[in-house]
Amino acid sequence: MPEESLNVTIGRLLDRLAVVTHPCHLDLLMFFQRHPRTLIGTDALASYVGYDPAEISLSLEALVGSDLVSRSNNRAHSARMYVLRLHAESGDWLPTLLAIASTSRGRARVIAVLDTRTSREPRATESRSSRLAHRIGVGHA
Amino acid sequence: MPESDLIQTGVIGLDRILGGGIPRGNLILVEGAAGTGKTTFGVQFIYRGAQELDEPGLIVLFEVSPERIMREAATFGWDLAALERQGRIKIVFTTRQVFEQELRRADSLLLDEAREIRARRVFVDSFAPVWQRDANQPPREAFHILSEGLQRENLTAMVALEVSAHEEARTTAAVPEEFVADTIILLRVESLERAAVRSLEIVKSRGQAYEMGRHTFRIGDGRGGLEVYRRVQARRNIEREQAAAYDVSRRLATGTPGLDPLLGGGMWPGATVLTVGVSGVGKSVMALQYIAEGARRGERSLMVTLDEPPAQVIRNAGTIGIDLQEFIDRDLVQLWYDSPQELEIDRHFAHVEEMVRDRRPQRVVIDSLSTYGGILGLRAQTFRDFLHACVSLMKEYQVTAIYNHENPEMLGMTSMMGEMTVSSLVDTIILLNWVELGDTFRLALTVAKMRASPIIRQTHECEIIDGQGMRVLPNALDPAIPRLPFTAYLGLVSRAPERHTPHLGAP
Repeated sequence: MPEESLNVTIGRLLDRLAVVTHPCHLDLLMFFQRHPRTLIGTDALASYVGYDPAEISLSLEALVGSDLVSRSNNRAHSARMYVLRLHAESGDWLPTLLAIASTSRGRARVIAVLDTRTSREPRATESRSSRLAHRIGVGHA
Repeated sequence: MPESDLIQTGVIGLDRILGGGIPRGNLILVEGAAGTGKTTFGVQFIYRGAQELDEPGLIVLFEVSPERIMREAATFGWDLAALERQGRIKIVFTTRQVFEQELRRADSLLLDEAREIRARRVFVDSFAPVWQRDANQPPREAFHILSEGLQRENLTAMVALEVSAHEEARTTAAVPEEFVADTIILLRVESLERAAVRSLEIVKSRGQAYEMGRHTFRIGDGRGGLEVYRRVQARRNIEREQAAAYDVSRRLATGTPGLDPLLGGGMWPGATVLTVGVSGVGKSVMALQYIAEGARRGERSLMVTLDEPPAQVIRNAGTIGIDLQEFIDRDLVQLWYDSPQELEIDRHFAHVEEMVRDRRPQRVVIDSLSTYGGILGLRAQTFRDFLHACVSLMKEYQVTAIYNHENPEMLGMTSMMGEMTVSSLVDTIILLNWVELGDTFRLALTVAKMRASPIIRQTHECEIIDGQGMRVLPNALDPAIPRLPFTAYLGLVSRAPERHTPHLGAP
């Protein structure tokens, strides 16, 4: 697929999957695609996916909130069960996006499109940064 | 133990070695170095349980992703994704630390997952080797907690454990899990010259009898996953006396004209017959005639050939007037060729056993014993054990088996079977020899041994005629042929033939 056309496809998929706004969302979804049923703590997940735990927590909240991933309700446990939900409501968009991102080049393209969108929506970035700063306990300018 | 108390592993050949399976609830440890087949074994245990035995199962992974497990399983034709969709298996990825923590909890999420699908089996892949463990976590205790947690849910658990590939390290290193586990199965890849052979050993299994020793196994040999071949040395579970309940009213015709009278009318059913002779002397011809004679009488035969592939055997048969292909098409003859190159004797014997058990041939030809000797070493215990196993199998099924054996001596026979020290196993020995008389090599046949039948150990002349095969010549030759019969000589086989004096040698 030509690059321009691929970018358009990715853009359309991201329009449908509005929750996916940050590379961490994408990488978590890809991890859960390889491990569709995972019993894990946030720290371990952060190590596997390669982001800091606060970023992971934030992204997990978003994915669970949008029903793309289910999470067990057991706050007393150190780990929680995460299950990727490839249900009918999300249509083929999520599998298609993950299929594109399954190659190194594809993942880079999706992240590039995400970056373009983020730079066009400063308020969304600011909001995410504020939440992250709040999570990790530092002030935000 | 009732069969319902045993859980079948689903590994072809292994349940037989285990006497039907492993006692339910046993904690099974599958040990082995990297690449020995632990994960495939465990996945097969879960897959066969869910697919064929209505026993749902849970797979817990620490290192390999479920995606890769599914992909590898698919190469064996196992559709894990379909079973997961049907709620018959679940694959959970977690960390060892979380796993151990979960098993300490009464409200374990992991066990909830097992409960949801009414799991009966669980496979955990894998526990870390001793040298990689957390010093703060006593492994024996952790493993005991695992055992308690799984047994609380009535799960039969199989746990893969990485051990050193070095045998010495294995025997000297303490593996604490081994004391807690009920069943230990050790997988190895052993080097044999430049080849590698897989073996499986049941080190212990509480609450049952099992067959000890190293059994050969293969992965992905046509039927999917692991397939275990019982150690050929292992005793067969039959009473020798019972197996030796021979029919004395019947003899089997050899198909070689003139030979049956020398054997008292033919071969005994269930007899072990050794045909000995130098290469090219006619052993295979005699064997083909034996099989063809059986086929003409409607008796089934099996020919195991290591020396020549089937097409060549069929062609050879054609040159002596035997249409072997026709007998094969009519299911009277089965030809099985196994290349002697890197032959795995346990697997080879298991296949022979399967063919004898399933097809019930009355006649078997093994061509040739010397090739087995070449592979295993004529003096080697494995060779003698293999022959013992073959003889025992054939007697159990009352098969009259001919074993061709190549004697290295071109002329004469100082030793009937060379270095092979198995003559006590053999009921009948037929010697084929070249004898040099004048400027001609003439073919000689002597029945050297025949149990339960009086024989005259006289050397007879044979001939092989193109398109007709082999026949034993009468002692009195056609007077039109200007040559003396064998009865005119002494010492034919001992390399020093001499003419009889006329008054002794006159027919």
